[in-house]
Amino acid sequence: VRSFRGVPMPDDATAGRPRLAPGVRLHFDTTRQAWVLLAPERVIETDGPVHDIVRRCDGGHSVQQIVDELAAIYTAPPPEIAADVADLLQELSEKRLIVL
Amino acid sequence: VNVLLPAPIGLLAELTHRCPLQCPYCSNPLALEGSETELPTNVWARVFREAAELGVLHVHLSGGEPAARRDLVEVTAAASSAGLYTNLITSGIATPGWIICSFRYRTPSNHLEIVSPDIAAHMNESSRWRAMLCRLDCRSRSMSSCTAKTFAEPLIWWR
Repeated sequence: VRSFRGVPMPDDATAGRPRLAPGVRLHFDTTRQAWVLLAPERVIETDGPVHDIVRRCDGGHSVQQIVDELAAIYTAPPPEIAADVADLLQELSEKRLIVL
Repeated sequence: VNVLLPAPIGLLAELTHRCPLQCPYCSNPLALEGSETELPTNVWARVFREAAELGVLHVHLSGGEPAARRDLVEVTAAASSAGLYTNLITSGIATPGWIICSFRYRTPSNHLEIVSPDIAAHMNESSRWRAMLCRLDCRSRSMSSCTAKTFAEPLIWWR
């Protein structure tokens, strides 16, 4: 399967598996004791549920798998978690921090 | 000890003041630092380690034109090894081919920012670097990215 900049083409089996965008890195900041997303001229702290979602954006987890794993950690109803995950992924994608 | 200031997030590293351009906001008739007073590779490596320990997350490798340094790849790799998110700021103009090759194979930089003085050069250089980075990503799963900017100021030089 051909890919461009490592981003799978839609017919690739990994389509729909969010990953960090090129040039974005998830980093543990030991000084501030916080997980951060490092991107060009931006530092975004990820904490709590946000971090639980972002750290699964590894190109390996499908969106459904992310939802399932969060449902195992959090007590909220799965449809609610699915909606929250979709919202966050959309927002991160618009900010070019992840690739859907 | 009372901490009065929060830890810095970014470090702007002026690796050199040498540059082939003469942009009015940067160049001036007074002498900038000569190449003989530039910090050597090992000192920059120490500065990057100490910066990371302080809490710095981003390092912006700038100048002058950072590609004027022959050890740019080593300096960039040192910043990367220190755990810093590395942003190389270059005009892409007259950047030696061996630097492109080194980036392709060693990929020490997390981000490449091309700031170019005119639109034509901006387009040409950015597409050249983008093509290079595309190959680099496919080969090594690196997390490099690239943006291109241009600055509007005309190149006026008063002396």
